Amino acid sequence: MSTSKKYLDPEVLARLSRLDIKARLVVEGFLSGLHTSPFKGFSQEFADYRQYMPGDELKRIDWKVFGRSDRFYIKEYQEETNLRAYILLDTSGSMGYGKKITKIEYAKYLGASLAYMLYKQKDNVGIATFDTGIREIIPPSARRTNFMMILRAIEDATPGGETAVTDVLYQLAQKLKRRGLVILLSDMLDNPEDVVRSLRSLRYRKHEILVFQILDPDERDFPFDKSAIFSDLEDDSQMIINPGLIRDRYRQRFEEFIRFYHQHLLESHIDHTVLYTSTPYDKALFAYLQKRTRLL
Amino acid sequence: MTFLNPWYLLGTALAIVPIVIHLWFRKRLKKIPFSTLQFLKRTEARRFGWLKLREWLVLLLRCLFVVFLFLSLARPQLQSGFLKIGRLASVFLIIDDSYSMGYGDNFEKAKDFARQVISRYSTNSEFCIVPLCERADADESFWMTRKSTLITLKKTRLTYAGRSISAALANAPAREPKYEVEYIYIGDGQSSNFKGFSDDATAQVKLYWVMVPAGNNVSISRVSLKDPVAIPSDKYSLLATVSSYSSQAWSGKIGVTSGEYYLEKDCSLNPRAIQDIEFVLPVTVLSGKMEIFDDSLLTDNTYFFSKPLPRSVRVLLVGDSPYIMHALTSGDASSLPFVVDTTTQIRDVDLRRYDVLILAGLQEISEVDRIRLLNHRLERGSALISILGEEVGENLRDFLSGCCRVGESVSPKGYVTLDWIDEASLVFKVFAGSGALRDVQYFRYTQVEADEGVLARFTGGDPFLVACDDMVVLTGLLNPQSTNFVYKSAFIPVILRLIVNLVVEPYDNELYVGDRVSAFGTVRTPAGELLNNEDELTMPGFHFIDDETLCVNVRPEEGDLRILGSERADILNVQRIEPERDLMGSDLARLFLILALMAIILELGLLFLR
Repeated sequence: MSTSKKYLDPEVLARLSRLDIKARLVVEGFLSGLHTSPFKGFSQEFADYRQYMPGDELKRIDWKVFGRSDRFYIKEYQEETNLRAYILLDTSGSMGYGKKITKIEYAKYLGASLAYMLYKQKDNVGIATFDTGIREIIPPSARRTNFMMILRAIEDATPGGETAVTDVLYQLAQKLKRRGLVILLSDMLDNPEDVVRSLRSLRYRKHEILVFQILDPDERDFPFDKSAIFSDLEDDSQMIINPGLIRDRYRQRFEEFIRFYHQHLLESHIDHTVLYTSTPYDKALFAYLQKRTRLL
Repeated sequence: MTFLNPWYLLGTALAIVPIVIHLWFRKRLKKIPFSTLQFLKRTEARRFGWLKLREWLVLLLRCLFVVFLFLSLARPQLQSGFLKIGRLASVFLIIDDSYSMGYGDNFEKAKDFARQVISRYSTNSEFCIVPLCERADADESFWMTRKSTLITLKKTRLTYAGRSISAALANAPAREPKYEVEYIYIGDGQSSNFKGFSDDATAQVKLYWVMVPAGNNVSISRVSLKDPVAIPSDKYSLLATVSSYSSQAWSGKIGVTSGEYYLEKDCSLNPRAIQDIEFVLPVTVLSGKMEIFDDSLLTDNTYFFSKPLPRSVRVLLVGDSPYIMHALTSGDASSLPFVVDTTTQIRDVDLRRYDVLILAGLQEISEVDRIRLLNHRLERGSALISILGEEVGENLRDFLSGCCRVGESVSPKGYVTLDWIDEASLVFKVFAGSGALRDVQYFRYTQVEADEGVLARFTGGDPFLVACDDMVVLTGLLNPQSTNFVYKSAFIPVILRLIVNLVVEPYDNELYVGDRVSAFGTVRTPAGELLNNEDELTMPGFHFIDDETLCVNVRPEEGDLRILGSERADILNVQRIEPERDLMGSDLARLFLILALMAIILELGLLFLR
């Protein structure tokens, strides 16, 4: 593994201290593996011609067309080519789970990396952190100061409180007036039907949505062997469980749970990517780039 | 409700142990923070609800198990009519240790019942425990504490002897009882045990009889010679009397063993029947054991016997009696058991050589002869038959006075016939109902008077034959001038049986367990022990004195398992106590034990349920 690419490994990345450096290293490590730069053709692009109308600025007249056709035409460009992206970071208690690296840490590094990538692409990027409600929100902007505020917000995020993805998404739907790309970083351990419904409401507002469901491998495998008291990180409730007795059923239900999200989100044209905390970040960044390519 | 072992109730506090273990186990469990249990709860909601319920149920059942177990050990009792718990009394307890209690595990049952009875009384009560069967080495009875009583009870063992309850009751402690005495008998209640109990209920003590089921039994109650005065040549008949005390029909085998000799027969008995099984044995088989196969009470299945058969008899015939001579010498000379000498006077004869003297029509004896005859009878124990003639002199009359009073000679008009014979006597037993002695006529006889021992009478009541110990008096001569008896077919058998009956030895070599050894020598038991004078025979089997063999058997009545009926019990003032109803029925220990077991089974069932 090359020096730059090794930072795509969540465990390696976790050893670094500064978040901005982490984000940069991830993105650079990711980009170094691509054959073509994602930044190419990133300027304002031509959209169409239309006839000059009184009131239009003279400087916008395409004189070359006038020379050929003796008619006044105005060259129109796409009005806003930069992406408006909202990163929604779940900071609920359940995100604090993880052995080597917690889900919130994984989500923070991924969020920072995506923010860095967006910032580099001159896209407007904002962030909202939430648990039972929205904790902090930074509106999208392409400025460096904004990016630095985003990094600080991500750095300050600590897990706590219960997950209420549904409520938060409804709240955000009210706040995000202009359509854009919504990137949700959450374990989504909430009622799947409600979560899907709330995401659909965002989708109805013409937002493009990219869901990164971040989970720990333990949540998939349930690898515990001895009877133990399992305590809920969100509401502190406890249960004595013999994992050996329920493992098979647990795994079955878990698969159904993931399948439900995947199936229903795809039906709503919402990209859904399951990321385990052991998954390298490039998978997430690829997913983002594919989405962006489709959007632009 | 009361408790026999109340201190066990403290153990119910141990019910806290499962709770402590549960909490400790719960504390020991590793605590694992997990992202969310909502997902688990949602997917396994019903199952976790059940698991949680099961956990509490298991804990509850464990606590109940401990509680029920110790409640069972505490022996909770419901009050019953008989023997209310905690009574204060002086308890006279008779434990039936007789052989019949060897049926199944009856003796252990009796001891268990005794323990239950004892435990029902107050600890301050005093007890006297007396085995039903008396032993030679038995200690004097005395009042004891409950603890000592239980130790004594533990040491009590089965004996082969028997004794009546009346005799056991007489063995009361010398010291006056502290409290009112309650008499309790624990045993199978054979009818024979109640012999001597007064029919007058008011005169008898009230006896509680804790009933131990008597069961069924088939036993050899007697082994006897079929005809003790028959003179066998090469074979003889032995009768085994087999008695059924069972309510069910029995069939099995019965056999005789004597050294290498063995003879076996099939035997079938109806319920409560008695049957004689005849064995025709060689005269060489005089002792051995008779056994039945198989029956529950073992020891009375074997009967040890030793039978002396009539041996060669030396007879001195004094006087002239050709018919007697003919009777004693007829038949095959080689098989005759009699050696007969004749004489007309006894003056110069050595009487010690003879077993039987026959004075045939002798009118008188001298004073010297009278004394010699008396000495001979006393010292040697030989027998004498006196056949009275027409006249009886003073000395002879005086000599016979020990047996009968001799009167005058009688010549009835015509004749008198033999009117009555004692058919139970060994002499006439074989002629019972046969008519062989019908029309025996006498034309002349001598009148005698006898208080007892008359075995045959003439019409009119005058005795014909009087037997006193080892002396027999015939009141008429045995010749054709006096009687037609000499022509009768029964004549020779009667004369022979009369003589043999006089010389047959009593069966003093057959004894029973519980009998005392007589003074005549040291007895070696089957186990090789040596018994001294007045020691008690305790073991069935062959016992030996020098070259003689004694047969010791269980008393026949011990095998008789017929029990005292309820009507008879009422008459005797005996209250029958049924342990299942009056002792066991009120004991809730078993109930709680079952509940404890049910709790543990339910717990295991819950643990296996997933």
